[in-house]
This record gives sequence, C-alpha cells and structure tokens, in this order.
Amino acid sequence: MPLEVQGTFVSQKINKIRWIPEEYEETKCFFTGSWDDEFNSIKVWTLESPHEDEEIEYPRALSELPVDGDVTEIKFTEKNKIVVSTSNGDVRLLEISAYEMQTPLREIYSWKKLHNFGIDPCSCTSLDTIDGDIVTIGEDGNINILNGRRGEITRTINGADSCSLHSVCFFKHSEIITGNVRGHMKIWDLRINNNKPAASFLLAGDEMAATCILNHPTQPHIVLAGSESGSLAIWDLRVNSFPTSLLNAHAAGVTEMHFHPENPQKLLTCSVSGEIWDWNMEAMTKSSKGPDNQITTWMPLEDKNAMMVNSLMPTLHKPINTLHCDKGKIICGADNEAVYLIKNFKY
Amino acid sequence: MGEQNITNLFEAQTIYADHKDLIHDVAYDFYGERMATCSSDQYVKIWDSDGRGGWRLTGSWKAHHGSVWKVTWAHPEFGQVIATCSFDRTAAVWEEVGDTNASGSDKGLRTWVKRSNLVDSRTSVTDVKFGPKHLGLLLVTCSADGIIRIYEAPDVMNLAQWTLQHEIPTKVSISCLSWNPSLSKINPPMLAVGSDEPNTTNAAASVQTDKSAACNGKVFIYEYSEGARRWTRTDCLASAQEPVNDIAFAPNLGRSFHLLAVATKDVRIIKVECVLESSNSANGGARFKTEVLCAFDAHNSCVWRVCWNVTGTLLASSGDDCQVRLWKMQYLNQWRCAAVFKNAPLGDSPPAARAHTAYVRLAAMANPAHMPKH
Amino acid sequence: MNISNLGSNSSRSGISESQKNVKTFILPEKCFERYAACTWRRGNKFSIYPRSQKTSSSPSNIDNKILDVRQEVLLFIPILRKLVNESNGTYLSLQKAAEAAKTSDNHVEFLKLSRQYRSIIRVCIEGLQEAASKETNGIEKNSLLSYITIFYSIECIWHLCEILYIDNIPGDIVLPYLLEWVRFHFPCHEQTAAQLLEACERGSEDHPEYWDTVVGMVVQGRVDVARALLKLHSLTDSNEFKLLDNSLRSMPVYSVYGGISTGEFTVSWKHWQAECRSKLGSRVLASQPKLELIMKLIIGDYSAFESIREKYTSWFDLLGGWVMFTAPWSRRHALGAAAAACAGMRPAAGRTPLDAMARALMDGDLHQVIHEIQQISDNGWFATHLTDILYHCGKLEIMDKHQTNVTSRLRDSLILEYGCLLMEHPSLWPVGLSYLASCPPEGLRRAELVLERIPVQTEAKAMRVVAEAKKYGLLGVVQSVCTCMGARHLSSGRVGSALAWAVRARNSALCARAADSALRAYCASGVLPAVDFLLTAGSAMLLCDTLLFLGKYCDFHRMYKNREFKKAAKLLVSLLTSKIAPDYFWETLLLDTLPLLESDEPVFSSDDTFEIMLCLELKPLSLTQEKADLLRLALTRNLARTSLSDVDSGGE
Repeated sequence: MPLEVQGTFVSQKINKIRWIPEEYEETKCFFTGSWDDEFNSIKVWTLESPHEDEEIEYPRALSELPVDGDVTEIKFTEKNKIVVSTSNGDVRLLEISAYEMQTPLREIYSWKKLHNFGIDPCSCTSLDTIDGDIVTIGEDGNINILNGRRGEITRTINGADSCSLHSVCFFKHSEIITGNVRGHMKIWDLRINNNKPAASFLLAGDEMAATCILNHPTQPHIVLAGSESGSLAIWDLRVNSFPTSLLNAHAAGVTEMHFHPENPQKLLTCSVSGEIWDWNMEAMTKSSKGPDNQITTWMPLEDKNAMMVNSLMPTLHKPINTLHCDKGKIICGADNEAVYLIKNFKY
Repeated sequence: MGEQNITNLFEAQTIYADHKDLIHDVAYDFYGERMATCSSDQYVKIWDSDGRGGWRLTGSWKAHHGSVWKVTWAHPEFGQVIATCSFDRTAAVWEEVGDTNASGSDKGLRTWVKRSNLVDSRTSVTDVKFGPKHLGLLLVTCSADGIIRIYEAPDVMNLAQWTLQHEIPTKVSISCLSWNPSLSKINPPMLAVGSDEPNTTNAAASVQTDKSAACNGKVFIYEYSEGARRWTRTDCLASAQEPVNDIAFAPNLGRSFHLLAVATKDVRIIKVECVLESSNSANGGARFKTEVLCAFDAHNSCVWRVCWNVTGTLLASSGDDCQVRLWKMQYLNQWRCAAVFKNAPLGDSPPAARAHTAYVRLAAMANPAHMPKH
Repeated sequence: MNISNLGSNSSRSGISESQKNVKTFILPEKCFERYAACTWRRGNKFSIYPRSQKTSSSPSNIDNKILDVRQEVLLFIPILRKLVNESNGTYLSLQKAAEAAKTSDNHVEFLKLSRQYRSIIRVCIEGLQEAASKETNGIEKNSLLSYITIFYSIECIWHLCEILYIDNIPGDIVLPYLLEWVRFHFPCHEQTAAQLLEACERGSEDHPEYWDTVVGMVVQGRVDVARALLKLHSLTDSNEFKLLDNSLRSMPVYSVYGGISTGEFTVSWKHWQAECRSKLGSRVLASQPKLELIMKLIIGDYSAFESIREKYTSWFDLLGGWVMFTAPWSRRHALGAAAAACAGMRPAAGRTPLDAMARALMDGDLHQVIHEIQQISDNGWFATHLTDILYHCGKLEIMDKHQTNVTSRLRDSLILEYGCLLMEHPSLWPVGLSYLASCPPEGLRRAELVLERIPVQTEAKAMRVVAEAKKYGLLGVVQSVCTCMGARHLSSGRVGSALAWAVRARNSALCARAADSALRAYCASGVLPAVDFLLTAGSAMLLCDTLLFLGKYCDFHRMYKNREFKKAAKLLVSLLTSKIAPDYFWETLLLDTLPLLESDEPVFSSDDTFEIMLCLELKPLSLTQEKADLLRLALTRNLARTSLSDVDSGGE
C-alpha cells in the first residue's frame, strides 16, 4: 500500500508529539505539547472515525492540561508515565490512566523552576529518560538528574556549560551526552563526581546549536546529532571525538530524530525547513563489518548520495517540530498548527 | 446577512497607574512588553506585561526634583535603559540592574540605577529621545530656552559617560523632537524639531535672522554633515505656521521620502522629499521638497500628541477635545480617519470593570451623527 | 492593524462622507474628561492615558488610569485559526502557481486552488456549526451563528466568482454553472421533491408543498424532476398535464459540444417557445392555473416570475430559471441585466450585503465587489485571498481617477494589512510573515520592523525567529535578534551565552563588551568565566581584539595547568607586548610572570625577560611599589640565570 498522509488542524503549534503505547491492540492515542502561544497545553488525542462507515480516522481531543510556557519535551519513564519539560523551567511527571484515557492527566511529581536564572525564568530545554531516571538540561547550562520513582533530584551539575544547553541523550546508564547552543558536545560520566566532562568535542565548528542527540538502539557507541544548520553528524565514540560523518541533510535545523523501534536501520528526521525524511542507515554504512560484526566505519562524507533518503510528505511551508513512530504509523506536529498522520510506512 | 458587522472591534482594560499627580508620558519598550510612565509626582514607574494581558509594576522610583515630562526607551541592544527629562532642568539615563531590591514594601521591584545626569540645560528639558541604533548610542534633548543638545556614549558599555557632542541654539522655545528612523545610508542623520513659540512678530523675526531662507515655520529639520562634523538646519517647513506640540517621523519603509506627522492646531502629515543635488540650483537651493498630504481639523481644537504605529500605517492623534483618532492610509495614498475613541456623554457610562486583566469590549456608537459635538 | 472595515469607503467617496462613516467608540470609566493622549504599543495595541501638558495646580483630583486598548480579531478564535493556517498553505501554493503561470498557462491549477479555498471555507463552516450546536451560552452561540452567516456568504460569493472569473467556461455559456450555483447555495424544496419521488404515490398533490415543489424545480431548471413530480399528480393522464409535459420534454437544451451552433440553437429554442406561447394563448390550460403558471414561467414571463417571488427569501433562487427561460445562451456579460431583472421582481425587499456583492459581480464591477467584501467582519481574510487569486488570473483591472492601473497596489495593500495583522498574534506570526514576504519590497520592510520586535522569551524562540528571518534574507533582523539576546545574557552576567550570541550576531562591539566583562570578572574573583567557550571558539576570536586577548589569556591558563611552562611563558610575553591588553589587566599579566620566573628551570629567555622589564617600567602605576619590587627582583634573578645558559627562544 502506498503511504497515506492525512493532516488535521488543531489550532496550536505542536512542539512534541508521542504515541501512547498499547500492549495488545493498535495504538490509537497520542500526546501533543504545544508551544509559542499565549496559552499552551498538553493534550491527549484519540483517532476515531466520525461516521461508522468511514475508513478515515480523525484525531479528537480527550483531555487537556494547561501549562505555563512552551512544552519543550515529552518522554516516557514508564508505559503510562511521561515526564514533561517546559520553557518556564518546570519539569513534571504525569500519569495517564491506562483504561480511561479521557480522565485528566495526574501529576505525580513536579519540580518547579528546576532550571532558573535566580528570579528570572529559564527554559528547561530538553530531557531524556532511562529506566525511570531523568536527565534535564536548561538555558542555565545546568544538568539535573532526577529519580522518577522517588521524585528526588539525585544530582545537579551546576555550570556544566557556560552556554545554554539544547540537547541531551542518555547513551548508557551512567553516561550522558549534552549539546549546547554552539554545537559544543560534552560527555558526562555520572559515576565521577568532579563535575567535569569526560570528553568534549564540536559538532561542526559553525557555531550552530546541536538541536537533538540520539544514540543507536543496538550500538550505543554510535551517536547522532542534528544541527540547527540542518546537517546530521555521526560519531563512533570508540574511535575518536570527531564526527565520522557530517551530512548536509535538511535545508534548515533538524528538530527531532528517531530510529524506528522495530527496525534500527530506519532513521526518521524532521526539520525547520518542513521536511520529514526516512533514511536507510544500511546504505550509510560500509558493507565491511568489523571482527565483532559491528559496523566499524561509516560512510565518508563525499560518498553520500541521495538514494538513502525518502521524503515521507511533500515539504511543508512551516517547520515540522516533532515526529513519533509506531510500527507503520508515523505522526508529526508542525508550526502550521496541524498534526499529520502517515500510514502504511514500510519498516 | 444583516449581521455581518456584529463584531465589536476593540476591547480595553484599565490599569491603575497610582501616580500621585498628573501623568505626562507613557512609553513602551521596543517589544511593547514593558511600559514606562512618568508624572508630575516626580516618579517614574515601570510595568511589565505578563504575556497574557496583565501588567505588573516592577519598578517605581523618584527620578527628578520636578515634573517628569517624557520617558523613552533605548534599543534593547544597549540593555534595559531609559532616559527621562524634567522640569528640574535635567535629563537622566537609567539602567535596570539584575538583582532585586528586597527591602520592605518595595519587595519584588527591580532596581534602576541612575547612570548619568545631564545638567547642561538652564531651563526645563522638554523632550528626550535616543537616536536610531545604527548611529550608536545617541541621546538628544531639547529645552524651553530653545537649545538642542546631542549627547553620545562613545563606549556603549559605559552609560555613565556621555559627552555633549553638539549644542544647537534655535532661539525659539522647542517643545518636541523626532529622529528620522531611516536606516538608509543615503540619508544623513536627521532630526525634526517643533516649536510651541506663540506667533509674535519677535519670534518670527528671530527665525528670519537665521541663515536659512525667511520662514515663519515652526518645524525645523536638522541634518548632520559627516564632513563638517556638525548639525545644520537644512529646512524650515513653511507649512507649519502655528505653534507645534508634537512631531513624529513615520517608520521609513524603504520609501524615497519621509513622512512627518505634526500636532499643531490640526493634525498634519507632511511629505518631506530630498531634492537631488543636480536639481538643487533650479529649486532655489532648497534641500527638501515638502508637501502637506493632509491637514485634519477633526479635533476642532488644539492637537497635543501624534504617534505612529510600528509599521507607520496608522497615526493616532489626540487633542483638547479628549478624543483619540486613528488615521489610516488607503492604498491610493489618501489618509482618512479610521476610528474615534471618546468618553461616554454624561450619564451614559458603561459599567466599569475593576479586574486588572479583564478586557471589556468598547461600545460602538450606533450613529455618531447623533452625538453632541464638543 | 486591520481596520479595513472601518471607514474604508475606498477612493470613491468624498471626505465628508467618510467622516460620517467613522466608527466611534465609547471609552469606559470616563477617565479622560480633561486630557487624553495615545501611545502605540505593537500592531493592534495601544494605550490611552490622561496626559496633561501642564503641571496641575490641584493634584488632588487626578485621572490616573491608563487604558490598554487592543483590536478584537475574529480570526484569532481557535476554530478560525484552522482556516487561517490551512488557507495559508493554499495561498503559498497559489503564489508558486502564479510564478509558473508567467511562462505557461496555469489556468487549471488556479481553478483547483480556488476550489481548495472553498473547501477550506466549508470545513470552517462545519466546525462553526458543530461548535454552535454544542454551545450553551446564548451570547456565544449567537456569535457563532453570525460567524456561520459570514462564512456562508463568503463561500457563496467565492463560488460565483469562480464561475464567472476563474473557471474557463466552454463557449462562455454560463447557464449550467449558474444553475449549479443556485442549486448549491439556495436549495429549496429539494428534500420535499426527493421524499415525494421516493414515496411515488399517485395523488401526491395532497402534500401541502406539492405545487411549490414542482414550481421550485422548474425555476431551478430541474425540468426532469418537475416532470417526474407531475407524473405523481392524480390527473397526470389528463390532456392538460400531457400538454405541459410535452412542452417540458421538447425544450431544446444547449450544449457547447452538441454539434449545433448558437444560431441554430437560438432558432429552434425560439420556435419551441413560440409553440408554448401559442398553447398559452389558446387557453387550453385555463382550467389548471398551476400548469398555466409553469407554462408562463418557461416562456420567461416576467409577471409570472414576479408572482412567485414572494415565496423565496431572495432573488437568487429565481435567477437560474430566469436566465434559462429567457436567454439560455447568455454569456457572462449579459448576467448583469438578468440579475437586475430578478432583483427588481420585489423592489420592496431590502438590499443585503450579499445582494450587493452578487449584483456587483454579475455587473462585472470587481472593484465594487472588493469594496463590498471589505465591509465583511472577517478581518480581511476574504478580500485578501479573493483579490489575490483574481489578480493572478488576470481578471482584475482597477483604474484610479487618472486611469492608472492600480490593481497590484490594491492587492498588495490587502495582503500587507492581512500579513501585519497575523504577525501580531503570538502563534500565527510565521503565517503573517509568509504573506508579507510575498509582497516585496514593502512587505519585507514591514516584516523587518515587526519581526525584530517579536518578544523572545527563550533561545528556542530566538533561533526560530532567526531561521525565519534568514529564510527571507532579512539579515538585519538576524543580527538585531542575536545582539539583543547577547545583551540580555550579558546584563545578567552570563558571559558564555552572551559571547555565543554576540558571535552569532557577528557583533564585535558586543563581543568586546562581553570579553571585557569576563576579564573584569577574573580580576575581581580569580575565576575565568566561559573557559569551555574560549578554548573552542576558533576563528570567532578574531571578531574583536578584546576577545582575542581573552582567548589567548585563557590558552595561557590551559598551558600553565598542563605544565607546558615554556609555551605558556612565550604566550604571556606576546600578550604583554601585543598592545591589546586593557590597562586594568596589566597587573594580572605582570604578576602572572612571577611563578614562571620562580620555576626550577628558567622558562623566560633573556630577551623575554628584558621585554617584561620594559613593560614594567612603561606601566609603573599598574603595580604597587611592593609588588613591583618583588617582580624586579625575580626578573633580575632570571636574567642572571639565563645569562649563563639562555632558554632556547626559537623552540616551540
């Protein structure tokens, strides 16, 4: 079946979108977080056909939770728990009822003004989760490690960066990587208490921000970062601290990246230039594999060709801020105040 | 179909300024997110928008030893900086400093520090304006004795150090001034000043003694010559002969000419166009060709203030009739009145809303022709 | 600010008339009885305050209220934001199509986009209807119903415009399209007809609306339906019924592709109508007045149309039938007369705005159409988009009083105003920007002014504003936004962020300010801020001398910590002699030489030592006497050491 794209206007710019996982049936519900408006909120949506006989499903809002500031990130800590960061510096852990999706989200923990400039507000720009642990970063250049089960702040690295941090990734249980407004990446080993990065390197040296970081689901030493310039960098952390591959990808900033959960050879990216792409990672790696059957070398810059990228949707005239995939269904949220559902994606 | 025009077009909310005397000026910062007010109570107050329609007082201090006439914001590139001018013959530059002032009742208010006190004037300082940012950090003041002073902070880091660059005597009382905001490199720095000198023979004579052509005008254009390193009066607009209370250059949208709004006995919009050097001689040496695009006497009284919106497409005027009028340019360049705001006639006031953030719709009068004229 | 629906009587009316049409608003609370003044905030917001020109003599009774006024914008309600966003996509596609149309005919594309606009309006009406059905608050419900009315009439007029000006009608014969328009927007009796036909019972005339339905079908040009209905009458086998059925059946129908010319068709049609007329004349239908009425209608009898006009709410219902039975070959330009005839059937009926728009459209007076459209309270959405598509289709030609073509100026002014209106919305600003950008050069100038004034609370927003500005080549805005971000960080003491944004802005003055603040912070606290930035800044260091100096000084610290003393010493001497060190930093630089001078192995060559001595004597005031003496001693000792075996000054 060919790809099927269907857009719905929702009267909010969507900054984050996440499928709510289902164990035994097809996913039907998702979260959205809005940004850049007078009033922002987190909404829960379900897909349903307005008329019995129709095939097409439209999103319908089930509940809405107003937030102060922009929603900057939504990630799951457990199947029915999300942690949300907002631009006023708050972080909240919320629970959705597994059976009654329309009941309002329940707040389990909240960390008010976790990131701050004294009395002035400071954006909590991003967060990541691993096994119930949460790492948050902010424009204040601080890193906080939270325990999502007990609701405690377990560790704070003040002044981890003298510039604002914009992206973070837990690439191992005790190791994180952060990216700042200039594309300066730092690796932190949380077992060491000296508040100094274990390593640091530059994304591209063009003074553009690292907007998102992702590690390979099966090869944790492979780390990808998206840049505000639209390029995509790939590192093999075992080899060296310089990007093995730096691809001029999107026409403007990469906003979010995901490996397809069912197939790590599929990478999905979206951008400020309104593109949503699917990358064939197999084509990006050299056929030769190392002794441990791991990919050792990534395709050098000059070899890249257009064949490894597919566009999933005609280019939008406004930025696509977020995407999420569940099997053959991809949803994305954009600045034209619409969400798009892409069906029949082959993974 | 008859219901097509049902929408109320404007809504308003009231802010209780709590000055102990008359308010003289209200100025918004570059983004329109902060508001400064000044008053005869010698205080300046700063209000911050909460982004959702409400205003919060975040600064309040006694700024002068006399009525504070005007307050104006610097471009945010230079930080959070305002300038004030007063009846106490001084102008001052203030900067907000990061920490809060936690003492007693002032809790939650931010501290504004006086960076500089400009004491050169020997009379009341009637207006103060920061220059366009591409010229650096410039400040111009004018005073009742008719002297225009241009100050510069050579080091934008050091707001304490202002040097008086130019002192231009005009020999008439100056009430208002406006910088030409044009970013074009073709235009040298340009100022327009307005005089509220009453029309007596003396005043007219004194203007004529100036080297510019004989002119009874009350609006003067000054330009800075890079070569001579001085400001010179390059024109006197003969089209404004009555005392002038306020003037404002419109934002220049890449046009070849400038628009100047003048508040005098009526509202005027004057087109000021540079005359090309080549045709200068043919034109009797005039630097500008000026044309009154419109003169509206709809206020039926003296006009006190004129103010352009950000894009220069709407002009607001106010006068002794206590009305505010909006003027709008149509696509064929004619100007017309787009709306009038006035008080309800006696005994017909809509109920007042007290809440600080509640907007109330403004009632539109069904038939303005039925309203009594002031 | 969009206040086109206020006193926007275009150029046609004189000043005196415009003054009358000015809307007057009553200010609440009577706070401005003696004085008033106004200051603009941004876009559609301003404040009115009681400004006094003079000082008060009695400060007891003071007006101290400031009135914050803003325009209420219908398009900003959530349901209509969908319309704003979706139509923006269509608008942008249309601009691309128009670009392509410069080289090839793109007519089909324009028609497709016009239909897209209409379908967006219909979706919007559905949304409003759904909301209205759920709304329980009476006032809100009424507002929603009036919005439905507004958008309903917009769609109706757009459809007519599409038929008359955007579509390429074969042979320019408008009748089939006109009938479609009437049936679509003024459906009347359709349901009754369907019910009757479905029931299919002889004697349907007992239904109270039977005859109205039959006549209604006739004036909508649905002759087949009318005939089928007549078959359900109990007397359908009578002669009168057969006679009428015969006339209806034999009516010639024109088709462009029918193979006959208009001339031939006209002859056969006139012949048919003459036959009908003679049947009427023979009074064979006199016993069945309803059948006689139908016969009169199909020969285009004006009084017959007049007689049924009362049954319809508007003259639009009759327009299709009137054209069909008087001049089915009518071309577009003949519609004006037909519309006038229909509108005249009940002169007492009030003239609604929809009437005025439809009449102007059929008269071909597009200027008037746009003028009428501007009166609609939709914040200019309709006028902007319709004018734009008509302009691109080449169907709009508007002359001013000097016969200059001002069409593009009209289009631009509408788009600029609509774009500026949207730019004021906290979320819709990029939509507004895309409209302004499609109207160069003035649109970009306006965009510049508004864009740099968009409040930026977070860096994410700043980066987005910068990305949008770059997209449209507004580099001044990029610099301004970055500089303001940097200045804000700097005034809060965040040197690293300030430098990062100063570098983005390529603003050397701000770099210098930030670097200077870092150096002063080091002098005060002994901790060098933003080391991570300085060690990776690369070529950005070259933006200004102070930053370069700071970066090198930071490098000196790194070398010293790494115990690369010789390299550190070399760098320190070059900093001392570089002449870019700020005066207040001399003390630090000179004292930094002390530990190196005291190291076990000499690291300064004799030449270097002389340089330091020279610097010390050149700047006698930078050190206290005590410290200077200490340094002199160390220098002398080092000189003694190096005179025996000098440090290799050439080595790295």
